[in-house]
Amino acid sequence: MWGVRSRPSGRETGHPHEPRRLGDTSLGGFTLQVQDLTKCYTADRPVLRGVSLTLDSEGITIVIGPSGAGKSTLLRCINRLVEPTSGRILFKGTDLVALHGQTLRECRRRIGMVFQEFNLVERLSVIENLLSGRLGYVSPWRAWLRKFPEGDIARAFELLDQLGLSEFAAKRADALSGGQRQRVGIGRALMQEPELLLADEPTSSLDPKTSVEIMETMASLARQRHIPVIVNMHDVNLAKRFADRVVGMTDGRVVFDGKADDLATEELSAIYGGEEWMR
Amino acid sequence: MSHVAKREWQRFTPHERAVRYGVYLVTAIAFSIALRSIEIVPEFLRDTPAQVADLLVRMWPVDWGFLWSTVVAAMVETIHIATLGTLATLLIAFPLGVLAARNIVASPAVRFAAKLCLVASRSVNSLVWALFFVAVFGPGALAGTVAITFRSIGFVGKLLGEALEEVAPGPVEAIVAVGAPWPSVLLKGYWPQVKPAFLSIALLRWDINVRESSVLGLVGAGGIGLVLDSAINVFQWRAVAAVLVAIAIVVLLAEVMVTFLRKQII
Amino acid sequence: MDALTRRAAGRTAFPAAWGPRLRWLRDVYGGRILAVAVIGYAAYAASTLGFTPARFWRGLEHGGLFVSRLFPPDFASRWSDIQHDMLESLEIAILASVFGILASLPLGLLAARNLMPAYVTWPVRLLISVSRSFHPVIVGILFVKAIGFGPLAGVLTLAVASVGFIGKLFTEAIEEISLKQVEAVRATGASFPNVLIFGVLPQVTARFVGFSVYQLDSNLRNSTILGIVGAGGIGGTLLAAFQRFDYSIVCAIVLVMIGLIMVGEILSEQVRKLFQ
Repeated sequence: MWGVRSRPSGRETGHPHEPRRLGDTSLGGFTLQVQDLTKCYTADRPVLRGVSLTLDSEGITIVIGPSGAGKSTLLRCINRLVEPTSGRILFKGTDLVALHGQTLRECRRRIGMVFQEFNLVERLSVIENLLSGRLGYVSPWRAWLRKFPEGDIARAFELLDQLGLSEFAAKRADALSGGQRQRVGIGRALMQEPELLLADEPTSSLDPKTSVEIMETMASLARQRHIPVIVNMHDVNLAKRFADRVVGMTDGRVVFDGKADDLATEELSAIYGGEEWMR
Repeated sequence: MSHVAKREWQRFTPHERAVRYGVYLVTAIAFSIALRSIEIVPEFLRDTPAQVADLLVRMWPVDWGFLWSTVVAAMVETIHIATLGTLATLLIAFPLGVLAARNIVASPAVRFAAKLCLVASRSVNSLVWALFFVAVFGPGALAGTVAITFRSIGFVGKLLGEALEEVAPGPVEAIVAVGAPWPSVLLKGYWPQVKPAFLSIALLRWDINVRESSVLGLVGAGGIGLVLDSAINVFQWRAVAAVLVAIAIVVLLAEVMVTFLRKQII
Repeated sequence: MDALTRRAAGRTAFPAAWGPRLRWLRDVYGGRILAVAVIGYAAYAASTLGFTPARFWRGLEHGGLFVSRLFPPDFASRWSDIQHDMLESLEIAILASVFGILASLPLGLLAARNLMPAYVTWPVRLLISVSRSFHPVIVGILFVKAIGFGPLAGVLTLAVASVGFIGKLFTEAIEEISLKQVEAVRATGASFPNVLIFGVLPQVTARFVGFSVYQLDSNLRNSTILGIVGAGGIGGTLLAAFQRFDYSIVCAIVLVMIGLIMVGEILSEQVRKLFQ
């Protein structure tokens, strides 16, 4: 468990590598600390400009901002689906940016993600999609034969009950409606028993009523399990309704970080620009 | 706190599982029987990579002179065989396809007879047809062309029949309702809808026929196969290489042409 | 374009510039030009190949005689040979298909440009391309000359052909998958093999089975004729009978071949439906 297993990457800014320590929250007990995160897809146009953020407790943090503000990129940098150009991301003390291979995967399985377009494996059944959340823990042979541990299967059925999808267990994922699929997506993320839940525009493909239902489901399940959640969305009213904390981003920078109640006209203008749309 | 009964999850229903295991079992048995009864000498198997490498070495460098002197003319003949054969096929397969279509011909007996012809044509390999026609017409390109025709009829006829069966009934009914005679119904009702499929099938079969024609010469039915056969029999491997290169180039060009033309049709 | 539309188009003026001019010609006269071109070509090609009506008629006469010698088919006199060789063709087809299918699975994955880096996909794609460039009969001859007569050459030939066919189609199928599903599985921390098993394979398995079954059928057809060039199976027996002018046996062999192929076609339809 000790010992440096990560390789230096060309994008490093020269920070020392830290040995892996499981569950170490000694840096002030923060779950997540993003430090000066930058991402440029092309040399002259940064999508993220030195974003810094600290997440210290459970609760729902919602990131809002106009298209192209970098919200999605921020979330995807956290679980390294997108490679940051520079900066550090400390997840319970471990710098995610410095990890590769096995150690990266081990950290990834502690972070669950819910996607805008659900991203379920359509041809597999609902129960298989849920169990795919445990893929970070089973060998390829067991995955091939679908021999998941009994505890996992029991947990999957429990979750199905909680999500109200018990009758769909054996149905193919593409037979479900959008809202149902997103619930499976949430279930998959929760099956990982994550310490952090990321949701990238989870409601953007859903109608207003279903959006609220999904946010309620996600919020209650996450609170029950004491998992902090970072959601990104563009619906400000939905954000105000569910957020414990709101982060506003514009043009790759954080311009607001506080409670939903403090989010008034001025702040929204600063984030989105203009006032017409607020009337 | 309620007790949740332990629930079992099975990926396949018992019936599905039985069937899948059945297929795997049969395959495994077939494989092991085949492996045991086939007459392969193990030493030959072990020797294979070395022997193949040896042959490839003998083919290098390619005899380009041979290419120009003999191969090009034979290749042109091969293409003629393929093209004429395909054209002849279209003439015969079209009526057969029509006769086999459920929505055009009412009599099941006629349809069955047409389908039987098509299946028979498909089930005999073009090389075997070539053997037949060499016995009938004597060696040469005539035998090859007729062989290609007879083999392709089954392929084109079947696909054409399927395309005809998928035609939308609306426009056809409209023409029948007007009181048009059946040739007009075929021409104005069915033909416009199957034309793209027909051309596409024709191009596809031509592409396959170019490849098939290249080997017919091995049994004397004309084309590059004859050249290949002679070169192999006298162990002129560098000339063989030249022939192979020519065949590969022509097949590639044919594929490119077919892809291009198909885009024009669609 | 039908006659009425053609006439309507033809009533418009002959365009001045060349581009539109060619298109106008194509629209109005296209069908007729094509028909004339086709007939012209057919006549030219036929004469180049030496087709004369005389040859044709002579052939038909001959054909009549030939067909009479085919029937009745003689199953009895060489039945044990026919049976043995037919089984050998079947064995060749089965072995070649199993090896070919097993090989195409990893090769197809390695050749997929959305999964593997270029230095891996290029050589594998080249290998697959080469495997399908030549007709199995040609590959058969080369193997026979390299490693000798017999079923080994047949198995190797058809295995190579299978890899070429299934490999290419499988790679295309993989390159068409939705990467979003793959991304989600990656996000759970799954290892690369697990990502393949749960993210990639479910999207392509049905098609892979379809290709494999099609190839098994194709191998069955080809294995019957590979014997003609010495690669084992019933083809050799057929050629020998032809060369002996033993046409009633030829007929028997061809009927057995047709029977086997038809059974193969029916079975493959069933298996394909099963794995849907």
